[in-house]
Amino acid sequence: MKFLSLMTRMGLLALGFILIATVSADAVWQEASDDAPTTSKLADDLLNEWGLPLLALGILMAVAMIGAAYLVRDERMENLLWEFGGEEE
Amino acid sequence: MGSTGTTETIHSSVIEFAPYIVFLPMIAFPIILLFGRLFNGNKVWVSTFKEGGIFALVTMATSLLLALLLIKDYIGAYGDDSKSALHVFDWFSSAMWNGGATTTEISFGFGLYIDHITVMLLFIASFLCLLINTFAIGYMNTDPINDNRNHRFYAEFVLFCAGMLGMILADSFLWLFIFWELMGLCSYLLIGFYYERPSAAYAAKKAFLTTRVGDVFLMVGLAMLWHLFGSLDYAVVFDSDNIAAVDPASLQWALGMMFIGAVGKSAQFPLHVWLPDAMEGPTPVSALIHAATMVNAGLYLVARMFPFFGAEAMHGELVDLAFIIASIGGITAVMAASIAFVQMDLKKVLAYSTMSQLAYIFTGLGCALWLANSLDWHHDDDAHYIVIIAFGAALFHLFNHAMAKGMLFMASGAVIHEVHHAHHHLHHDDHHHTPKELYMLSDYLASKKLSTFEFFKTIDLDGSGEIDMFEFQTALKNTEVADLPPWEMGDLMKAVDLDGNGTINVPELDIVLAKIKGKTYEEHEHDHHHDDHFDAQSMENMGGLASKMPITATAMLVGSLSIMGFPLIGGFWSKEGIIANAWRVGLEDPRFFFPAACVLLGAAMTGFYMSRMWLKTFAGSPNNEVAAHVGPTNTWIKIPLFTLTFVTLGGILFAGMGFTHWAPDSGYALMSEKGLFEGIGYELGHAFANHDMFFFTLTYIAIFLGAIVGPGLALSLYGGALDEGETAKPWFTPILMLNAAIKGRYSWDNSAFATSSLSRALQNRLYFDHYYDMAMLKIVAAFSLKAAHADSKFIDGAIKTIESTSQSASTSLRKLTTGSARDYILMAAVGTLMLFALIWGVMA
Amino acid sequence: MIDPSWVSGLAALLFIIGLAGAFTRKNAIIVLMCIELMLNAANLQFAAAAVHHGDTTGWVYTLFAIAIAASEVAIGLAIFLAMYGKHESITLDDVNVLKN
Repeated sequence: MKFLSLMTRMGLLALGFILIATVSADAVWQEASDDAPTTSKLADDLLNEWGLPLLALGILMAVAMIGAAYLVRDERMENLLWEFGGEEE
Repeated sequence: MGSTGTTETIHSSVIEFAPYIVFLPMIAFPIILLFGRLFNGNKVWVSTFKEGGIFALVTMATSLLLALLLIKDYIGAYGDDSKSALHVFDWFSSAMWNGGATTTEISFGFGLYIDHITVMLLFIASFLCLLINTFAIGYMNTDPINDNRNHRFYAEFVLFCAGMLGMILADSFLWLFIFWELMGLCSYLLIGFYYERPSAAYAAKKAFLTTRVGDVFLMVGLAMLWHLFGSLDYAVVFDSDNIAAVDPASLQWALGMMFIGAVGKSAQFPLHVWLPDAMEGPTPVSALIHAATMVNAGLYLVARMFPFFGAEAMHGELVDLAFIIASIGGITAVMAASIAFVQMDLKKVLAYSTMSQLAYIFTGLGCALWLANSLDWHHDDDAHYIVIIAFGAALFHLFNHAMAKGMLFMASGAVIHEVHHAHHHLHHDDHHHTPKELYMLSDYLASKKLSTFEFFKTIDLDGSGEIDMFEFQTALKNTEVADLPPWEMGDLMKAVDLDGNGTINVPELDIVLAKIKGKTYEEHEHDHHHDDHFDAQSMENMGGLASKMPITATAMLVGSLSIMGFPLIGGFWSKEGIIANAWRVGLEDPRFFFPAACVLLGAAMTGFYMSRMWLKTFAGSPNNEVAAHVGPTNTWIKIPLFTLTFVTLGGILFAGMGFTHWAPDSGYALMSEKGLFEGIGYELGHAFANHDMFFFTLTYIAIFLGAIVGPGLALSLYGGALDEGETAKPWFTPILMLNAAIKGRYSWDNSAFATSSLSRALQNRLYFDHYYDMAMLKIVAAFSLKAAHADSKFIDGAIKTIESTSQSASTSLRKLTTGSARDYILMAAVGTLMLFALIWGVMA
Repeated sequence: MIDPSWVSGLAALLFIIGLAGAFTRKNAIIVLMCIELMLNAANLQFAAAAVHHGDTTGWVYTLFAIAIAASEVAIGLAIFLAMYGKHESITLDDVNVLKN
């Protein structure tokens, strides 16, 4: 176990160095583009070009919320009774 | 190879049908078996068709007819016409790779090869098969112990005949071997016919395994032969050019191996141990297989080796093998004869006699083969004649022995059969056999706690006070004892209906049920069979039967005289020939004095034990009341005995026809040089008034020993005159009178011999079985224990190791699944990173 | 403006920290937080790249990722609730039903 954790830590450290080295290499950041995008352009693209994925995302989130709501429902008897006015599942 | 019909000018139209001689019995085998199963128990099948016996009879008769037609064509033929081969079908062909760029085609086909030896054996086999079949119908079907299983017997019988006939007609050593094995199988099946008896099962196993040992050697020999010649067909193997191209030493070894196979099959020393035990089978089996046909297979094989010995290229090279053949013959002859001295069982005496006589033939063959190999018989006419006559004497003895021994076994079977019947009459007719159903009824009444009277009232449906068959039948059905149809009620009614008026009343039922009260069916049966220790085959239960079974006694007398070599009767002509030739060879090669002396000694011994057998069975007064009660036998048995008596007596005719000259020599036709009477005159002169002084004395010494000393000793010890008031047929009278006279005057006490250690050794069959058992136990059993140990330890161990290794590997691998989510995250991350690194590495 | 390369470097650092945390921590909620950290790091990287390349596609992804991360957290917390109901603890070490 100790060996494993040691290896993990070393590996993580190594990974860290590699990542930072790769990311800050100059070759990556050579061709910079001139015009930085603006938020209005972002909004424009989001609603026109990426409209459909946005919609899908919305639906996905809605479903996730419903699922989460179901998973954390309260099954205590008095709450059920108060809510439905009778014994129901 | 399976040659395209080398049919040399056959002027025989029958040869096209010759394969049916073999095929018909072969087809009859499944038919009889099938019908026997289908119709088992059917009255018509049992009484009219004799449970397949009639089928077998018809098949054998047809085979005999075809054989006779075939023989008719060949008997007068000589020269090239006398040998023919017929190709019947191709079995399979394949190619053998020669290790280079070529392949040789080989094919095995089945064909027929017919020459004089074939013809002789064909006659013996088919004739005896038919006669023994007749005998079997009379023997097997009249013995209730065989009921409803005779179809098995006849089926196996017919298959055996197919095997024998096939072997004789086969045109290659391969098919000889195949049919040889078929006969071995049938021998096993038939010896073990009474399979419920442990002794019979043991004997069958012993026979099969002992011959198997021989067969292994035979296979090796055949393989060597194939290696030498490239083929096993007679056409190829007997060709003198092919023989010249072969190395003599290897050929000698190959033939030697094959000879060992013959030793096993013909029960010679040291593979003789199975033949006496084989008498466990029913008598027709003993007659056919162990006297007349199967044991001749070994002799046939050795006879077929003649062309090798006679070939010019092999001159002088194969004499050692000839000596071995003759010596084994000599040893067995004396050994078997000596064991026969102390046997009390009738069939065992005959078994040992068979062994001894076959040994004679082997000696004769050995001497003939030596002569063929040493003399320059291709060029010298005298030498040619001597070789041919020597070979012919052996073959003639085969013929005589087969006829005589078959008859002797059949006659002994008749005697045993009648003694068995007499025993049954005397001892078992008193006990009225109580049917099983009454026991069940008694049990029923006991369980329901009914008295007989109450029960009677319930089953007496019409209230008449008596129960008739219908009411009884209904009663049995209602009490669930048995649901019998009316025609099977007869015996049951008879058992209960004591006054025989056709109805049962209360007292009768009461008496019958009281008699069996308290006993179970099994107990009763046990009492019943308590006295089945009666040995119908032992000569202690015989004596004085000459007056009671005249035809059987005559048959046995003639057969015994033939085997003994009594002058003028069957075996004399051939036996003298063998003895003479043995001594002739002994003069040339001193080694051969050993078999020659054995053979001469054997003549005396044969005389003794055969006479002893006959006298103990047929002469004197009956030993016990069973013997006194014996009556004559039935017609089915009498027919073959009658026929063979005349054939044996007619030995002089065969000799006169030049049988000894004709059998081995394809260049000679029967009666082509001398007419019948001229031939008889010549033979008589040759036997009794030989020109050569040595052979003249030899003949008379042999006759003296065989016909006077041997029987004389027996006459003085056994038998005696028949009882007062018993009359025998006229031709017995001189014998019985002589017996009485000699016994009266010269009788001597042989108890010193009878109780000596030699006698005990002989009774234990010279301890051969004992030593073989010990050898098996120590060597074979020990080895097999070691092998079993190795199997369970190493082979099973290997499997178990694989299993346990994979098990432990899997267990240790499972430790990766720690169940901890953290570790799983770690593993997932590491995996993904590695994938990424791999792709990055590949891309870069 | 901030040089995107620095942002990228920060994203890398954050990622490593998050990874280390995910491997090491035993409290389930902390692990969830570390995963969020990693997601956040990825988002940063996308944003920096979008600025560098001048393309809004990178920012679109960032928005989507944030939304998905939120729903994922919701589901995760629900699972933790169920887990607590079963095992009476949310220490990951105690949940080892699948051991061996």
